[in-house]
Amino acid sequence: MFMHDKRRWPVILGLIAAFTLAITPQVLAIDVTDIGFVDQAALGQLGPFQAAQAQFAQYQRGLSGQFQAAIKGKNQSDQQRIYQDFNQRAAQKQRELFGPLLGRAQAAIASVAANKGLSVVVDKQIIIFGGLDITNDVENMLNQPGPVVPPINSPPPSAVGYVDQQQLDTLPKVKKANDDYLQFRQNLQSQLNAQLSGKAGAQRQQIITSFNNQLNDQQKKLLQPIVDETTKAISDVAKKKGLLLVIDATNRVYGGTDITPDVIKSLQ
Amino acid sequence: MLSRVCNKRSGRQTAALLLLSLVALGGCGRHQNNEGVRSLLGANTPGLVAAGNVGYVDMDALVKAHPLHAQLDAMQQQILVLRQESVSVPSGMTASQNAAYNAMQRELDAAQQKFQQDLAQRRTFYEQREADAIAQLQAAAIGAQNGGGVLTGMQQQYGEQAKQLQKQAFSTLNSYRDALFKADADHLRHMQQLLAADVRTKARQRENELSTAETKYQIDLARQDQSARLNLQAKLQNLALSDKDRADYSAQLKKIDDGENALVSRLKSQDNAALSSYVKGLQSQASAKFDAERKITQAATQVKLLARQREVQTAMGPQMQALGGKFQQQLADVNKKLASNTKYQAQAQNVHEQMQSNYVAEAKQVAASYHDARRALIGKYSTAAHMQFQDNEAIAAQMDKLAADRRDLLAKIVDQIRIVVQHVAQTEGVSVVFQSIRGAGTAVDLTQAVQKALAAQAAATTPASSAAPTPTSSGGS
Repeated sequence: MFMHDKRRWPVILGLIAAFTLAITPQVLAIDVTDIGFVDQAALGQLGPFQAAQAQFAQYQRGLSGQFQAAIKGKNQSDQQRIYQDFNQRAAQKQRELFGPLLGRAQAAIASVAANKGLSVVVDKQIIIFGGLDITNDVENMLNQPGPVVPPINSPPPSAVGYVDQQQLDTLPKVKKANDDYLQFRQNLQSQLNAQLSGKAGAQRQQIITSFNNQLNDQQKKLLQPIVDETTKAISDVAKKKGLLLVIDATNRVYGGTDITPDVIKSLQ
Repeated sequence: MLSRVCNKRSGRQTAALLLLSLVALGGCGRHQNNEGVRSLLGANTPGLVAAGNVGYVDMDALVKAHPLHAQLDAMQQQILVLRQESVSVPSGMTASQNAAYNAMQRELDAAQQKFQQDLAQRRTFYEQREADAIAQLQAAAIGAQNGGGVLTGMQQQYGEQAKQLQKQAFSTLNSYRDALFKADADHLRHMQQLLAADVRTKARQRENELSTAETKYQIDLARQDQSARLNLQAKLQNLALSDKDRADYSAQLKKIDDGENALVSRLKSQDNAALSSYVKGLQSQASAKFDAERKITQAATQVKLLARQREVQTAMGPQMQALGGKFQQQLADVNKKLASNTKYQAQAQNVHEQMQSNYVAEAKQVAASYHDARRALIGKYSTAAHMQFQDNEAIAAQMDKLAADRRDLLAKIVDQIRIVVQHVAQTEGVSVVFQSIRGAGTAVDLTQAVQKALAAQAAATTPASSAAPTPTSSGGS
């Protein structure tokens, strides 16, 4: 029998070693367990969110009718004031309806993440492969009646960083680049309206295509350098802090390392 | 390489070496010892595992590399053109044309507003009617006066009880936390007092030592100058001394006293500085000790709190389940009754279909009437202004349709890319891949590897089948 044939041992062990080498990456791959993700869109489909959405839509419909009645016969400045007032009312209603639900969802996510020892939870849409999906656990917790008890412990340090673009947008040079681009766009738009007058078919399409190309060129000229500089600053900070990568704050759901102040400092 | 090693050694030695390799590999897998596997992964993937098994891809670049990108891009261009069309306002109009255009927009907006309100009202009307009819049917089926009311009442009661349970758990946890925090504060205050007392004792001890040394130094100095001082004092006792000599001796005596005083004073200054530095050092050490103790205490408290929270959650779980189970049971009983009641089922279905059918018929009628009204308005004002106005809503609808088609195509492309990414990630030993990042740190960039794999797939498939690339053996799950 080959079990007793010592000459075959190297071959068998060689095969085992080759097999082990082939699967080693997968074996290692399962070691990373502290990155989780949640499908926020799916959470938004849960009953309470849907009910709040329906309620808000109904409120908006009512408000829209009132708005039309309120602006009737008013001058532009009054209309603007009324518009702002109605917008505020809509925002207030939105906060009333969704605030408690979002707070509850946040507590559930934090609780599940803490129980599973996750250092960061991100939105599902930025994960293309792997990670721990906690959507079901969060849904189960949210489906229980009564308040969700948030965890006492704060998230552990994470090798995934995040940056808040809204804060970066307030930097003078970023703001100036954005404003310059918007101004250019507005000017071009008024030129476009004049150029399109009396034109039809292919001629119209050609003018619009040229308009879009000009916008793209100006975007590259005005915004791309800022984008590149920001990306470099983010990467430099990430490397300095030993982070794996940095995501946008809007995609972070729980945990992570906020490097916004460092990036702002670097860009100033 | 391994087979070459095998050939050079005897079977027994090779077997032992391979076993050691396997043990080492097993260790690498468990402890993520990157050094061990880095060489085994080969030269094509430097630093891959060192990045902690996390990778990322530039999805925009990958979509651009996909064979269907040209189609996607063409759709995007069309959407951009339509978008511009839908927001562009006619220019170069005369005052009367302008007035006609504005009047038309106002009427179009009003028509749209009316249409939406009309639809919403009809929907609400039919939803309410359906809910009322179903509630009546349920009440009749389960023998209650108000079917909907029974279920709502059950739900409210359950919600209250569950809330009470959660409140109790929260209160227990809060009391425990308060007690822990108080104990921590007491402990730290005591620790602070002990450390302060220690600093005071040591400082006083050092102060005494220095004071003793100063006294000794003062005595030594006096001893050194003793003979000179006595000599001068003896000379001064001579009554026959001239005024000049007396003044001379007195000055010499004063010089000796002043010299001693200056030396003693210098030593005292040095000692004061040394004492101050010593006390500062003691305080700094005490502060460090206190900080360390504070951290340890707080960490221990966090652990205790977490453990208690888990205990509370564990203890609460069965109660909540029991409560939920009771409610679910009641609900299930009612639902079971309703589900087994075929007459009720048929009636409910009939009500739903009837309401739905009524609503859809009315909505269609309202929508058709709305579109006719829009067309009529645009025609009327175009004629009045002697120029053709466009219906931006129709363009917007066309744009929405195109955007939906583009979304579908993009989703298809992304799904195909996902399969390739999965395969590449598994091959490269990367367990999590991000598709949208703001900046890279030490994670692995898999974009090029995925681009290569996509290109290889595109080359291997015919143009007809390129829309559905075949995943490789390990990446198709």
